[in-house]
Amino acid sequence: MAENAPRSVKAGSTWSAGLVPVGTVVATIRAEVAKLGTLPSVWITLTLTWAVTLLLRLAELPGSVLVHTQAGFLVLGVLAATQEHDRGRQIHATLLAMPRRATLTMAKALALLALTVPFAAVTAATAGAPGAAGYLTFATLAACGAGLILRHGVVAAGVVLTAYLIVVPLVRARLPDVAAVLPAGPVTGAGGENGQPAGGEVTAWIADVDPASAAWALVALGGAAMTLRYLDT
Amino acid sequence: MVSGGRVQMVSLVHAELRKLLGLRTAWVGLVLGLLAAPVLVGLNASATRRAVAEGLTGDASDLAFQNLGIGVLGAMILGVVVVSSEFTPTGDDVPGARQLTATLLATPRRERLLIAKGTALSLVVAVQGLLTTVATLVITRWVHGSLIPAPQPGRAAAAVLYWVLIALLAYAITLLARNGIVTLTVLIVNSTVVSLPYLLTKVTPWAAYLPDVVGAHMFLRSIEVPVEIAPVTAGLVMSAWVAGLLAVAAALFNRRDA
Repeated sequence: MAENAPRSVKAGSTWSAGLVPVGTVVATIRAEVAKLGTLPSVWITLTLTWAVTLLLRLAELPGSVLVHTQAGFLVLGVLAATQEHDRGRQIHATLLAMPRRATLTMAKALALLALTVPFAAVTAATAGAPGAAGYLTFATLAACGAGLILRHGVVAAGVVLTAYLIVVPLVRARLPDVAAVLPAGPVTGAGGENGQPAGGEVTAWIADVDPASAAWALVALGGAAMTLRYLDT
Repeated sequence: MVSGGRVQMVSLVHAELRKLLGLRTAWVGLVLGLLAAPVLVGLNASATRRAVAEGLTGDASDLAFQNLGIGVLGAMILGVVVVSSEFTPTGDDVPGARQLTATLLATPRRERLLIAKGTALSLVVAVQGLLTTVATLVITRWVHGSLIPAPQPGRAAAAVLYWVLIALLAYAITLLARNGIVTLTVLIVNSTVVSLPYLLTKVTPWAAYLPDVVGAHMFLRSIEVPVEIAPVTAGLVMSAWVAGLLAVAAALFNRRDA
């Protein structure tokens, strides 16, 4: 077995050794991208999310369409994280190939990021709020972190959707004091709770993604790395 | 085994009850449903007082019931897991093996199985809904006193019925989709603060007759929709939706391989 393994893996094959060779990291990320990109459920989620966004936009709903279709992004993050824990437990094979769990978590996050950024940009533009792309990307990453911690698709989807679609808007409206530490929702800037008419306001919203949604993504992914590091699968 | 009617049905319902209550996720739904509405009464207390003082509320008697419309998430989760648990793989070594296989071995008649599951779910959610409704109304009374008119028993009963119907709706959708994530996404998007069906009513008034929106008219009076829907009509329309979806789900469940 050992002589078949790539050189880079042999070079750092002990658990405690410090740095993972760059080649291994790149290969891991590429593997994660391939696994993600070949999942039918991911593409179904992407297509449906975009199609529903377009339909609702054409129906000229008041407020930002993304308040609702951000659900698709949350599901995307959950699916990306939990599919390896689904039937067959692909995660066992993955960990056999890449036992370094922190690196694996990072690779998973980066692979998802690579898929999400263009999709978020296209969907946000479709919704008429291009600035929301940053928020959507961070929401997806946070959902991924939650999925990696909970390791069960239905449970993770329930928790993440309830948190982002119900609890956060409710708490933001009721307790303005803690609003600063909660993700602002897909309508950033001067918009109110219910969003504003989706117009073509191509302002530099990408530059002002609220820090809270980025922080939530980082905390969730950090928690995921810790979970994967200290818990057996 | 084949005949034996009522006794067999009772034991089937009993089995389904034990299976449902043996699930950790079901208990998450139970506890979440029980706690959410009473906690929201406390969380909303000052905002509610302000709203009443400023006369912003359309119908003050709604305030006691509003939070039940969010706590219903717990019932929704129960409706999802009662099906999705059957489709979850039972072991790592045999990914193809699901609990449904064993269930159908014990109960090959699929319509009986679906009836037993639906009955078990309805029983659990009815008890949950009743406890939550009573707790929420009592706490509302305790927090707000005479600020809010005394709740009518009929509306409380309608709220419990709403919970049962939502659980059955989740049950039907999950049977159709065979995937809990789809149901959760659809139903949670529909129960957001500014819900999607509510916005759709701005586009077409018919959206007011979507199952979960119309059902809320059973126990809430001041829902801003373009059409006036009486509580009994609302109950009938929602029941018809649930019955229709359950019929389609049952027909498909009968015809598809497990």
